[in-house]
Amino acid sequence: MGIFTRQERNAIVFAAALALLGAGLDCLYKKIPAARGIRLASERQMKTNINEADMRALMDVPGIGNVTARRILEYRQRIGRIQDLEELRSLKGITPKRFERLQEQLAVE
Amino acid sequence: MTMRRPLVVIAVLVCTGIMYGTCLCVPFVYTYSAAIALLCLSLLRGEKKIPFCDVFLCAAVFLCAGAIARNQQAFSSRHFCRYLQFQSDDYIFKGYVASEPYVYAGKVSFVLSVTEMQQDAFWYRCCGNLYVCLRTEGKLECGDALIIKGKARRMCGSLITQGRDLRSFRKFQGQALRCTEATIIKRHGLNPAYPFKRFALKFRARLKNIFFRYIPLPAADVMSALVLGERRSIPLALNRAMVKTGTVHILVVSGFHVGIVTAVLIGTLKSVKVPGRIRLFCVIPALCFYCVVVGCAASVVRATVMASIFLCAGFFRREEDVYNSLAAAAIVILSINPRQIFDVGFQLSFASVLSIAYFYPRLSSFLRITCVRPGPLRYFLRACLVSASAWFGTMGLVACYFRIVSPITVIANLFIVPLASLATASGFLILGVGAWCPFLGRSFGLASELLISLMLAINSVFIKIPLAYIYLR
Repeated sequence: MGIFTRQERNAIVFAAALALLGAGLDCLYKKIPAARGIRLASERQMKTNINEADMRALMDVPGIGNVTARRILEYRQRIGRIQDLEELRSLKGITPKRFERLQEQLAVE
Repeated sequence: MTMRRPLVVIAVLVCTGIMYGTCLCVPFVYTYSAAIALLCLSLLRGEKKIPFCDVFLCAAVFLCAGAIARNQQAFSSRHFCRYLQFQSDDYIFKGYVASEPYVYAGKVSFVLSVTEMQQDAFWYRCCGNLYVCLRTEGKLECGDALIIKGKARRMCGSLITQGRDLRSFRKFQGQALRCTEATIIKRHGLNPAYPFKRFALKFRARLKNIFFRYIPLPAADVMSALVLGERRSIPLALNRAMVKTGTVHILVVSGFHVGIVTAVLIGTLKSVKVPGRIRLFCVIPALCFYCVVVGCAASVVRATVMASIFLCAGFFRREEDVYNSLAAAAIVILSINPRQIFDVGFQLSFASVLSIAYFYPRLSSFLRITCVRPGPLRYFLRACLVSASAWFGTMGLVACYFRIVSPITVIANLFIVPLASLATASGFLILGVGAWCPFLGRSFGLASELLISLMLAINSVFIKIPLAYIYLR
């Protein structure tokens, strides 16, 4: 007969494993900063890829309506592929303030 | 002969009654009168059972629900809409902030519960909810008393959210109008009726700060959604990515979270030798508090009611029944706000639980899962069946509201749901220890970040599979 029930033992094992994993990751990130690359993958999911987004995905981005989305798609069709988000500044309707907001939501891949 | 699941019958009658009252244009007076008449007839039992007594009672419940739903559609005689003339003049509204203010791009939006309005230099006492969006320097909180000035407009009908236009979405939330070009004229104290909600929202903000202290962005935003139901900070791109794989339900607080809170509370109270009855009276209010903290969404209210019923069933030595509990949860939610029946979150939450409760045992016995060896394979097959059962029940609703079908859902859920469960559990651990042990908080935070990053990376892989999702026109 032990001190803990089965559920309590599982919970303690889980917490201990998580703490060990976190401590190991902390040590790894300090020694090899490039190991944080997996965070970039999750950050990319948070943003809309300007080169793959269709009309619906572009209009989902706050600050992009029907007209702006169409302009972006036409621009993309004209030049083939957007290399840098700064290119959007040249589009009609995208003011510097609006571009600052869009930068947080859009990514180039 | 007694009915085994009476609450299920009542819930079905209430749901159909609400739909009848909302969708059919039968005047309120006729429905109300018929409900009273049938209720009186059903009470005339006496010693001899009158034929169709129970039918009268069912019809009375149906019409009563219809009358309540019909009544809720009409504005009261004191609703501020009755005083508006929709001219270009500004109106002045006085009221209280009734929802958690949401700040985005320098603007704050909230629902104002109107108590008075000024027109032509006269103040009129009125009621109603007004959706407000304005620029302000100071910080607003739920319960703040405000006087604002702005133009009253109808909601825009073109924007789409949750599969319907914004106007009908806001209408079902009780907000018929919005206030544009608004400015705050005066802030004058707090509404004394909001202390509990205000405290719950402040508590949630503190918990969210703990996540942001120990978990790097953007994983902290995802963790806030997983544990606290704070979905507004989730980017639309991520939301859309998870809708494509049919895994967006993990961002909604529901039964799993309520289960964790219940298990932690019961375990803690047991360890300090609290007796069973007192444990019950501690756990249920704590669950209700958690429900308010995470925003009282339909899914978490459902889970809280079902958990409370199951706990009480064990205590009172009664048999638990998932269908009765589900029906009780539906009745509780619809009695507070009958419009919830048209909310996509309500429909998906109940459809998924109902389909799991119905399909999983049948599929499990048909495929003889209990005979499968070894244990991990049996566990894996059970997980597949649960995922498939939930998909059967929600596929139609998802196709209808979001115009998308995701064949990849069942497989994607097998990978993403366990990771989300581990991340949620680690989130609760962070909340438990982060306040007093920064070292452990940081360790748990980094581990949570890894779990969330893995979850999102796997999601991005599934999206790229051909025919993983199909948009419907």
